[in-house]
Amino acid sequence: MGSKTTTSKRTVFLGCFLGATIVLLVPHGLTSKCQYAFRRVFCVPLGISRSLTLSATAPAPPEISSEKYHTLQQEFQKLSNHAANLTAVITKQEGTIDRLTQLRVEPEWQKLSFVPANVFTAQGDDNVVINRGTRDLVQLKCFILANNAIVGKVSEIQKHQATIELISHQGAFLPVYINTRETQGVCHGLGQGQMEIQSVRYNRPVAMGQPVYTCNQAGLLGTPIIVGKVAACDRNEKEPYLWKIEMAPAVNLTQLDRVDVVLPGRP
Amino acid sequence: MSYCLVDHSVVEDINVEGQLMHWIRFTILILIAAIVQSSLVNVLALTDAQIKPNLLLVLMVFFAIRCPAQEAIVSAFLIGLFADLIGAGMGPQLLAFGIIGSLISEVRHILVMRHIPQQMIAVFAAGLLCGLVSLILFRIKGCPVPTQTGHLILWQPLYSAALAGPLFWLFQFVTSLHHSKHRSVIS
Repeated sequence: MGSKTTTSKRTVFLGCFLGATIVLLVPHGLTSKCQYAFRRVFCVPLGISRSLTLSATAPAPPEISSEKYHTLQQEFQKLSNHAANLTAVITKQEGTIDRLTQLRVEPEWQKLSFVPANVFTAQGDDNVVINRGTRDLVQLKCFILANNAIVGKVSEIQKHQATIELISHQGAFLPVYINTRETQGVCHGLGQGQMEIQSVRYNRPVAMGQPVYTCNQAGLLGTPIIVGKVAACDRNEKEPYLWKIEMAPAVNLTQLDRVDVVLPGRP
Repeated sequence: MSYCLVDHSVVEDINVEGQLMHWIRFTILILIAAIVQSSLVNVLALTDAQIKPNLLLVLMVFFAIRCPAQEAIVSAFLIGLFADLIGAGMGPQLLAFGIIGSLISEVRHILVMRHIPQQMIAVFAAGLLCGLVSLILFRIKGCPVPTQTGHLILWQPLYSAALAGPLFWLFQFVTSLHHSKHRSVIS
């Protein structure tokens, strides 16, 4: 015989009431954790129903004709492209500012002024053309920097553009020293990206990988700037008291993109 | 007529299992109502004051009118618990819903609540009382009191009462589905 135990409604009510009173008396900080837990456990259905609510309560887009929609779409595309172009210009200008700021951090270089330029034509015979000219105060024989290294000099100049003779250009020369000021020589361009350093006495210590700097250039460069490094060195067979040194440029001369023209004195 | 011997312990097990299933389904129903109340009901919000119906209130009155007294009391407290879980703080609505739900289940033998208009009035009255009691309890507990208490006490019960008819029909439909299923299992 099974006996069924029943609970009177008064007992049920009292039990529930007591439980509810306890919950009511528990500090809010503690009970709020239960609410957070409930929301965390049922975050998926709550999220779905919230998304449904938001999509249902979102204001309906105004009805417009297809022609007007097409016109507006084109206008939007035009403005988007314009915004993208402006963003690109801003990014480029920021890059230029950063580059110039870095250059002027060097105390000696603060005496100089720099004109940022873009290389827009690379001529085959170790020449490049930049988009700066006399209008931008660029002068003949001004030095050209790329990534903080000397890459050439202005050889021809016009109002809006200038031709740069790279240090590898055949016949180009530049007084340099290797590692220390005592090891002086002249960097000669051999064409096709080749350079050699001549007139370095054999009694001077020269080794592969040593940096090559420019010697002081009156009125132009008051501070040594790197040009390249020694790529190979051997005794000159024709003139045994001199070194025969090949130099590698500090910057890849075939991939010049942005350069800075060094002007004597700040404007 | 043919008779068969019935093992009473087996019948009791079936009853206990049936009761458990009943309460699980009931809890799921309240849970769905709570989730809908916390989000989807916003679609039905009226005016800038965001007056919206209270599904849990209607559900509480529905069970208080239709269930046996014990079940009505437990369900009222349980609905109050869910109302608190999605509300501002734990306790006030649990107690308010429990007390008012128990009261309705008690007075349903005295007051006739068979027709929809009477049930709508019951929903409105229950909403008023629940709003008042829970507001007082919110203040006692020191929880952040819901803003626009006037809406909580007056307009929300009114809106809930207006929607009580279709909601009662919906709840009746859902529970009858459950009962028919339950019957088919037993038979």
